Amino acid sequence: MINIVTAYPDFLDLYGEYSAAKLLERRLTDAGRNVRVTELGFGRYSDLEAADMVYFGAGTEDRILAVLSHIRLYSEQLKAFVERGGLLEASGSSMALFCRTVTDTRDGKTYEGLGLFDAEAVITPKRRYGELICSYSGRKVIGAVNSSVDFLRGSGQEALFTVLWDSSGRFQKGSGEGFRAGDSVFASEITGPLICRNPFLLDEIAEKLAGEKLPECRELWYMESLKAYDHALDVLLKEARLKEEG
Amino acid sequence: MLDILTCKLLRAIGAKIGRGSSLPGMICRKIWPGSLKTLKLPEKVIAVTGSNGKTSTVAMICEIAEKAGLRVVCNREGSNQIEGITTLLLSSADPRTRKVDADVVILESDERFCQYTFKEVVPSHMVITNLFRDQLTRNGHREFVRGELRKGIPDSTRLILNANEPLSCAFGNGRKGTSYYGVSAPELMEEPGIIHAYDDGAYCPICGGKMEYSYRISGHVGAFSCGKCGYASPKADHEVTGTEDGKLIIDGKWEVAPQILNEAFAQNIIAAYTAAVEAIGIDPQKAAELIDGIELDNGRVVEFDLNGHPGRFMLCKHENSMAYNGAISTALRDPSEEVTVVFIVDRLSRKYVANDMSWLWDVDFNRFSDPKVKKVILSGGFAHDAAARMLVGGVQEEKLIIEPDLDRMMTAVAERSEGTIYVMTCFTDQYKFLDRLKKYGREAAK
Ligand SMILES: [Zn+2]
Repeated sequence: MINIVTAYPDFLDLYGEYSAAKLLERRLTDAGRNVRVTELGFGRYSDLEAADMVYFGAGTEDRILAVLSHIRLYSEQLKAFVERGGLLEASGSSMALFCRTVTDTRDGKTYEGLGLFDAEAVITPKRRYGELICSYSGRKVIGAVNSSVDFLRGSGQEALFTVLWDSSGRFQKGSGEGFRAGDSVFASEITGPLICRNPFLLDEIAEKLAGEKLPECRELWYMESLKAYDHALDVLLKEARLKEEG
Repeated sequence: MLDILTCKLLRAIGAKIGRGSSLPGMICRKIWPGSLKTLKLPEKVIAVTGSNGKTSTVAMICEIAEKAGLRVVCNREGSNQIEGITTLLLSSADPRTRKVDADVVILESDERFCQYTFKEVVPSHMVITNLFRDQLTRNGHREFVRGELRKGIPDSTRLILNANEPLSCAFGNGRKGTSYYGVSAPELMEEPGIIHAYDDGAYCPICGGKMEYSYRISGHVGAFSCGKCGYASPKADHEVTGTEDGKLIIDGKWEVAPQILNEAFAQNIIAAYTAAVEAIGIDPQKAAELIDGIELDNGRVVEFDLNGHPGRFMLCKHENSMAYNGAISTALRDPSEEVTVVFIVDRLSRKYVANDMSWLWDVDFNRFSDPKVKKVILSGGFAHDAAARMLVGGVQEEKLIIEPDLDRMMTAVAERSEGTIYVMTCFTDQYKFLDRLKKYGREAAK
């Protein structure tokens, strides 16, 4: 049995990221695995000892701060989970939870984060939207960053993706996006949902959970995701070319 | 004086050459930055903002006011940002007296632009219809829009709020003189058991506590209450209390025939009625008479017939799940036993780089698994994204016809539809269907 825990799915529920667990469940069950998805949240306890993966989706800035205060109940369990190699994924603004500090410039307060990443998260009053093409393991990752949070990466912190193009110009070409800690803790500001728009990332996580390479998925939903990826990448490459040509 | 004359002239030239309504205002604002502030406005200036329903609500308030014999200045067809509003008001003013020639000014405003417009034009009343997930590529999220809108509500403005929408309704907390409207008609309540993709009413916007609903109209719109801080739907001053023979009953006594009998139209009607009564001061019975049978010519629903199948084109908005959810509910309530749904998603915006498809996960597409839906035809460049979303949501594979190519889509609609056809798309993509429908009709007639 593969145990996936979704954290605050009805609270951190922006940009479709809450559906990531559904996609993983579908990919793994199509490959013949048994999957159980449980929820962790306000008033909902989940046993992290049995968890193989904990997933955090995108939420509003105020909700991230509310979760930051609540998740402390789980901080020891989460640390133990990460230390034993459990898979932890965060997308969108929830990446802030795992930084050393979270500063809210709207009221000047700074909060202690869970500290899995050597980075500072800074909530700003400004909203930015950009569509990105990044590279990861020789593949192109696509998606959008819709955020009010700046991330200041410490010198020891490894990035997850390398940015090839950002429609907003916020990320320079060649700069890093997202964070990783070892082979099991990943975070990216990119939403889409990230693992839906990039089926090879879905495969990678599903295979980590299964502990082995999975047979190629021939289900229609997956084939459609592949076609959707090809189309979106094509559209974004055209946008990038147009911008570069001025 | 010169600002008003210039604006009138530029607007007249613009109208001749078919240019938009913002340019004259934009030019005048550059040359005379303070001119909007120095106009003399009538006592009644009603602003209408919110994610959904503002255009329809504005059109209805205008029509009631005009039928009541009032002179109305309104940006019904114009831009709802400060430049367009500048064009409207300057070109409606007398150059000598600077008086806007109207008994009532009605202004639709973009939620995020209220903070600029209403620094210069202070509305006597402001209707806030709701705060829904809308164009998140531009708007970020609802809480962000709430923060931006808050900056645009002047202290002296009296609010008219939707008692059933928790986030926007909270603007009335502790604010004197606020009026509320609502819908409590049992016939318009959401059927129990609908599982939505998300629930924006799950948590209290004031304290973050869990919210309860005694009923829901659609999604998170309904009679809410927070068990933790006590924030709850306020008592509505005016409401749609029931329906009878296809008519809406307002405040238990006035019968009003709606153009479309659904919860969204009911909310717009009651918002407009409340503004007419509370802001303009029209007698309630008279307001009900004037709103009775009102028909908006906004092309939101087009009826057609294709190969013997009755069809309804429903204009929705990409990146706006509540708009699509309304259309989905309407399709599923169709009196016929079989329904074919056509969904076209090709382009999100003509202005911005916007290819985000995450909003597809917020639409209740899983409801197409209903046995009444026989076929789902998907088209446009992002048809594959829609297909993946629907399949993961439980829509049966055998129902789907995936035709990104628009001509092939049209052939599929004509030849493979079963029952009543419901076409759903956005204004950015509407003519990709409507033009082909016309052409198909012409060819069929040959
Ligand atoms: Zn509360």
